[in-house]
Amino acid sequence: MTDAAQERSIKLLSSDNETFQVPRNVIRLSNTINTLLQDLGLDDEEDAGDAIPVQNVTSTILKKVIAWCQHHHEDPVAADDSDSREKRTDDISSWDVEFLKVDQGTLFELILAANYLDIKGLLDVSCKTVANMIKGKSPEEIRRTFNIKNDFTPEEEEQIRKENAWCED
Amino acid sequence: MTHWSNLPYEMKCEVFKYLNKNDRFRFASCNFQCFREIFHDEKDVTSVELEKITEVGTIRPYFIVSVDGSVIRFEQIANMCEIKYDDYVLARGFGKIENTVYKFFENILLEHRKTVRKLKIADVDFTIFQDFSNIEELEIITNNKIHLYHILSESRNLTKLVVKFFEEAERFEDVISKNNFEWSKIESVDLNCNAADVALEILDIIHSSSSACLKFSINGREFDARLIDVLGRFDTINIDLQLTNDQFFLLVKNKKFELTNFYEYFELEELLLEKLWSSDDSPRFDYRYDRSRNIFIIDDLQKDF
Repeated sequence: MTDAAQERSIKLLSSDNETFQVPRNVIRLSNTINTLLQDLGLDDEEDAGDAIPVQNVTSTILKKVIAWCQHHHEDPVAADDSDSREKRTDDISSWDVEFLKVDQGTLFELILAANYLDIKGLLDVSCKTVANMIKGKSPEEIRRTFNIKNDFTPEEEEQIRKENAWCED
Repeated sequence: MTHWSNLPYEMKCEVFKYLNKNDRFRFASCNFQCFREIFHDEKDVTSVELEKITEVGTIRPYFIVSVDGSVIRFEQIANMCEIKYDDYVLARGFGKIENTVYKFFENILLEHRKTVRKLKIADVDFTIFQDFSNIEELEIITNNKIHLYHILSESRNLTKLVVKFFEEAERFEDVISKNNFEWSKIESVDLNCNAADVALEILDIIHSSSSACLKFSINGREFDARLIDVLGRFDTINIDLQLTNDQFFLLVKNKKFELTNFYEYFELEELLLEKLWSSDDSPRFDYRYDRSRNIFIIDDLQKDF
């Protein structure tokens, strides 16, 4: 890739109307943006024109996404790991670990953004981080972690306990 | 703030794929929605999914399954990867997930009916079992006499039977007396019923044709005083009920019995001390408290009482 190509950039417009200038070789990690540029015939254009609206992503999250892409844009392309074996979650790089030390809402927003923009690496590492928040926890701990409401009322639970008492011998 | 519940299902699946079986089970047991997300929509459980659920041995939260004889809850099951149904299955369904329960256990029990020897089951249509010939020990909760009739008619090798009726139990006379079931083969019968008339009805039929060890369990909200006249005919009485002092002593006079009362233990101990011990503090009869079972066991209550 030439220096010129590296320096080419596009503008992304967040859902709250903030514009971000992003180098093409950085945003290439987004298959959604890549495909869009190709479909519009703008892939080789020096100037991609108006900002591309990223309607589902706020400026706060888009800024994070761009930062992630900035750090990883020179990473080698990961091998396809779509087999059915249990996938590892202990291989998150220390940079990503620090990067994803965010509140839960932001983490989920990053997942949504990574999915929308089709950035596989970011989606994977975000989901691994969430999976690590589940692993080894009891149901009650998981409920607390994600503020999941038990769908039985205390009265229903008590009723269940009573109904099931017969078999606890 | 985006909450877990706001994530699209596809995104949740992206997370789930990093979870091992145990973690998936534990997550599934958080609530009904979580279960459905892990195991898809129960309204349209495919055979493949059923197979998957069976294979990994998972069940809906609040089902109870016994593994190798140990009764455990779903949360405990979640700690296990492998569940073997070969020997013992206990099923318990709950309300809104009844269809899932039904499909799930129908699948398991039909598949394993040749090897299951002990069965505890409740709230499912027992008529799905066309062959009880291998069942040796059966414990059921039922309010449906058609189901009970079916079970008793189909059982050939039953030696131990525990029938626990709901309080609203129908009259079972026609069920118990008109089928071909051989009560004489039964070694142990445990009736759990708070309705005195039903208890008497059952007792008359069973006792006349069987020398089985009869155990009567009282487990409910209200005590039917007429039961006192019935209890003397049972070998063992198990009580899990708050009783008044008078009711307690009436029961004590009858038989040795096991008193299970998780909430009133200290009150009953005080009562024992106050009423049953003599002034010199020596007990008039032997009793023991089984701490592991949280149960009073009073032996030989006829002695010096």
